[in-house]
Order: sequence, then C-alpha cells, then structure tokens
Amino acid sequence: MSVDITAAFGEAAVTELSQKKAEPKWLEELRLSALRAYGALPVPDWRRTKVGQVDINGIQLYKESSVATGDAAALPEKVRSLVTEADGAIVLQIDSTLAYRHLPAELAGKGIIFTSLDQAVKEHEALVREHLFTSVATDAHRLIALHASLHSGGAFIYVPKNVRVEIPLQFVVWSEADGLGLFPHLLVVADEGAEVTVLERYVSGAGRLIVSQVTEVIAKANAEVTVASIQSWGEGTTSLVERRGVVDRDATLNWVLGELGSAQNRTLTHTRLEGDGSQSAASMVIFADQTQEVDAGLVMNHVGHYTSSDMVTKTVLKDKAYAVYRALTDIEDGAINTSGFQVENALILNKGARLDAIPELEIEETEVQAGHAATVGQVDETLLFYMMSRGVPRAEAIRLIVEGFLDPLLSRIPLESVRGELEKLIDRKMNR
Amino acid sequence: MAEGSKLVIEDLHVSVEGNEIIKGLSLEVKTGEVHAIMGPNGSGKSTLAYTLMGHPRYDVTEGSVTLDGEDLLDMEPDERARAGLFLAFQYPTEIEGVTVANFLRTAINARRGPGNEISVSEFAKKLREKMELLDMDPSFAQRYLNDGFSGGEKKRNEILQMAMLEPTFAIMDETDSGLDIDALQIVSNGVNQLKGPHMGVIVITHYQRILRYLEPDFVHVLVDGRIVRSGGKELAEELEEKGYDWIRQEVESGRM
Repeated sequence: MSVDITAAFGEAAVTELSQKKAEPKWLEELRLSALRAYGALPVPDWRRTKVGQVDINGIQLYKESSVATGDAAALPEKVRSLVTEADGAIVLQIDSTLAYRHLPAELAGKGIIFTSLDQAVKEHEALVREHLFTSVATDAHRLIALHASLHSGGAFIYVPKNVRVEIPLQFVVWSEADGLGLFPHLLVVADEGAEVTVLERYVSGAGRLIVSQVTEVIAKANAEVTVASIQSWGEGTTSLVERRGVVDRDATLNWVLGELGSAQNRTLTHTRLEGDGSQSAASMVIFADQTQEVDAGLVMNHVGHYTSSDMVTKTVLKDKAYAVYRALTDIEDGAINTSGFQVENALILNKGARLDAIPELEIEETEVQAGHAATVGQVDETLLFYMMSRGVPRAEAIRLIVEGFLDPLLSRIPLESVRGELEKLIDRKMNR
Repeated sequence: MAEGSKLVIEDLHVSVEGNEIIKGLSLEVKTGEVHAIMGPNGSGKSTLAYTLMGHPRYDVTEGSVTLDGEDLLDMEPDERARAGLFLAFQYPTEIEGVTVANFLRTAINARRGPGNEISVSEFAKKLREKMELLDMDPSFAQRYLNDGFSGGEKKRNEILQMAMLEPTFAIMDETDSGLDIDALQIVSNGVNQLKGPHMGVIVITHYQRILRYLEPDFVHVLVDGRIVRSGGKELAEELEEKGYDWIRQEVESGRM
C-alpha cells in the first residue's frame, strides 16, 4: 500500500466514459463535478487502517465485459455457477459492464424494474435522476467522489407501490481482472408498501482490484426491504463499500452483511431512520484470516419518532487478521421514543489476530431506550474438551464451534444456495 | 465396541495445581461389568472421571491406564474416545448453534473415519430408535446442544450420546445429581439396555439411589483419593444405611 497520488485520469477520460455510455448531460455533469471533488478532497484518515490511502496509479479504470449475452449458457463456466436459480431475477456485471440479465416475465409484468444502472439511465431516466446520489453526496469523501466520477455497470431496482416481490433480486459483480478499478453502484427504490429482498454478491479472482462501491436504498413509507450483501472479493482486492439507507414512515430496512473477502476492506453501512415508526436491523458476519484487514462500520441514525434499530455482529478472526468494528447508535435531538440496541460477539481463534470493537451510543434525546453488549473471547477450552471427549478431533471441534457461532446470522441469508456458498467459503478459511 | 475388553487402572496418582487428589488408585473393569464408585464430596470422584477422559488440567504423576494393553494416558481426549471411552458429564456444556443431530453425526463420523461416513437414513433411523428408548421428543434432535435444556434433559442427552456412540467403556460422572425419580428411571433403563457383554460401565455417584435401578456388579468406596473398600451391591446398601462417616472411621481405625 503506498501513499496517495493525484488522479492518474482527468476530465477527458471521464467525459469519454460518459459519452461512450451515451449519458444525458446531467449525469456527465455529475461525474465531472465528482471528479473535481476527488481532486480537492483530502485523503481520508480513518485512524486505524490505511485503506483510505489506496493508490490507483497504474490501475485501469474501466474495462468492458468480454461477454454480453442473453443466454446464461454462453457465460464463462466460473460465472455460470453464480447464476444458479432457474428463472431467477439477476443482473450480472463482469468487470465494468453488464454481462447478463434475466427478469421473469411475471415480475416485469408487475412493473418491477431490475436492470443495470447504465441501462436504467436510458430507459427510466426520470426515476433514476430523482433518486441517484440522494442518500449520499458525491463528495462525501474522496473515494466516493472517485466512485461517482467512474461508476459503471451497477444495477437499478424499482418496486412499485404495494408490490411484493416473491423471489430475491440478485445483483452479482464478478471479475478476474488484474489491475482494474471497479465502481459498481446499486440503487434500490422501494415505493410505498413495496416488499423486496435484494441479494448482492461480489466475487473476484486473485488479481489486483480496487473497488469503490456504493449501495443506496430508499425505502418509502410502509415498504419492507432486505438487502443481503455477500462480499467475497479475492486476496488482491482493496474494497471500499458505502451503503446508505433512508427509511421513511413505518418502513423497514434490514441488512444482512457477509464480509469475508478482500485483503483490505472498509465498509460503512449507514441507515437514516427518517420517518416516524421506521425500523432497521443489521446483521453482519465478519470472517478475517491470514493478513486481512477489515474496518467495518454500522450506523443507525435516528431522526423520526418511535424508530427502532438493532445491530448484531459476529466476528471470527484467525491467523494475523485485524478487524476494527464500529457500531454507532446515533439518536438525534427530537427522536423521541427511540429504541436502539447493539450486540457484538467475537471469536478470536489464535494469538496474533486482533480486534478493536468500538460500540458507541450518541444520545441527544431523553425519552429513549438504548444499549449495547459486546463479548470477545477465544474458544472455550471446556467446550473443546467436551467435544473432543466424543471423539471429535480438536481442529474439527473448533470448526464446529465456529459454524455454530455464525449459524444464527447465516440463517438470515435469503437464498439457500448462497448460504451454502458462504458456508463453503468459511470452511475453506477454517482449513487453511 | 468389543467383547472381552479390559480397562486397567494401576496405582494412579493425580494432581491438580500441585495438590494430589488421587493417591494411588487401582481398578480393573471388564466389558459386561457395572462398577459403582461411591464417595463423599472431595474424595476425587470427578477427578477420576476427568483424568480417564484426558482433561488437560489434571496431571497424572504416577501410574497407568490401559485399554486392552493400549496406553490411554498417552492419548488426546478425542483419541481416547475413538479407542472406546465415553464420559457422561456431570455438567454438560452448551454448544451454541450446533444441533444435537449435527453434533452426533459429526462424532459418529469421527469414529468411522473419512470415506466411511454414516448414511443420512441410517443415522436418522438410529437416532429415532435411541430417542424412543430414552423417551425423548424427536424435536430434541434439532435443538442446539444443551442450550436451554433442563438438568434432566442434559443428563438424558448424555445417555443419548452414549447410545449413539456405543463405547466400550462408559463412565457416568454423577449422572444422578439433579434428577428426579422419573428421570432417574428413564436414564437407568437406557443404560441397562445399552450395557451388555460389549460394554463396561463405571457409575460414579454420591448417592445409592441410582444403584437401585442400575445394579452394580462391584461397588468401590473412594475416600481421600483411594479406594478403601470394595464389595458387591450390598456394600452400597450398607453405605446408605451407615453413611460415609462409618467408612471413614473404619479406615482410620485400620479396619480397612
């Protein structure tokens, strides 16, 4: 990881990108303004990790997918396995652009929009323009500005009023590139009373990737949205993830997050509970091994009345991994009758792995209920002895304990096949 | 599981944090036999149980434990289990997120070895059978191991594990503590059905009560880390009548 360098690209490159995509003027302007911000903003100093100092020198900033097809069978074999559900709803991005998409006719018939963001800008311009970058500013910090100027591929989901989407909508990003920057943007808009589950998956090979990804979720009144995001980027990836949710009156936004991949990973999941009666629950699993560095933040920002939040995180650390975890329950003045709780449990499998857990409560209102609990521990020797006394070898007993530790959260992943995949990934980490 | 197996404990001395708890204990148990080890609190009953199973906190300073000539003390707890030893814990541990069924299948497969795993149907059948034997509700199999179980449920679950793993020698560490008569009868009945020429049982207990349902062939009295008296099941009744103080007096006066 080296020291920051000013943009190795400029206005010309961004303009070219925008014109290649045949974008409307406002979007081109958005990119250029973000580019200017990128140039002006300081390198973020996120205290405990140096992820903010990521260097994009020598990194290719845009690469079209080698495949763009309507036939799943034409996809490269490795990718085909990600498109697992028959007649499932999926938008698959390979490198910087859309490679494949499928939306069952029944869903399209209900007015559900699910397509790449690039496409959505053309086909549903007004709808996209109304919501894009409303939950986070393009100049929120330097790497968001980079993302905003270069975002490509991505996905747009719109669910009309009172429509219930029965199957999960999957947005998958896959890359085997080496020396590439990826800037996928997922925009989810659930209109009043809508119900939808979104599943994001990020998978890559071992090559050098720099990912700056943004997910925006707008949950309008009475909507119920679940976003499950499973990140398993390869060992050459530095990933920066910003997730922003805005929850309106009586709506619910649930996050199920699996942070497993990347050499360095910084994520921030920020939910603004704006409307009265709005709710949000975040469940996060962090599994870091070898020399992975993870900086994971969860923020529940209480603004309306009678809002509630719940954050549960389970962390497993192995080898020489380092994780810093921050959970902030931020209750603003006027957010009366807030209920905000956090629980964090961590299992450290060997000396040399480190965790900094930073639970925070910022409470500016008196009529609230808030609390947090955190435990950090090693594997219980008594428990190990009990399991070994039944003939289970030590290493397997530890594996079983870790599985059991994570199981309550893994069971919240909406697709069985994805859950299975995650369990396999965890298994691999346990065995190496 | 084997007929005609022998567990031999010879002059065992065990210390915990420098304090000697077991001070020269010898015992021979054959498959098909039920041995009861009775003693007052602090006599070393649980120490014996944990030592046999290989708990790292217990230091064997002298003596040997062999199973059919194989040195058990040289083995890790999981190796001893695979060699045929089983311990029903007095205070079974909870395993978060791991179901009874999942754990049992893992333990069985650990014994059977890779490539020889038990089939799903065979396992399900066996589990159903054994749960019926112990009058356990089938839904138990999907509960997280010992999580939220009552004392009685935990003890019954220990015997279920014994039934599923079919050890050569089963050590029961104060299984009767915290059990009411009904639960005691069910547990004892289960063990009675399991024991036979292929299994030896060591029942470690403070009270004589369980021995009414689980009849011992031999009774040994453990006082201050040593077996001071051995006999048949009448010894248990005598102990019940006269109490541990009687035994202590007998020992002190040199009559034992």
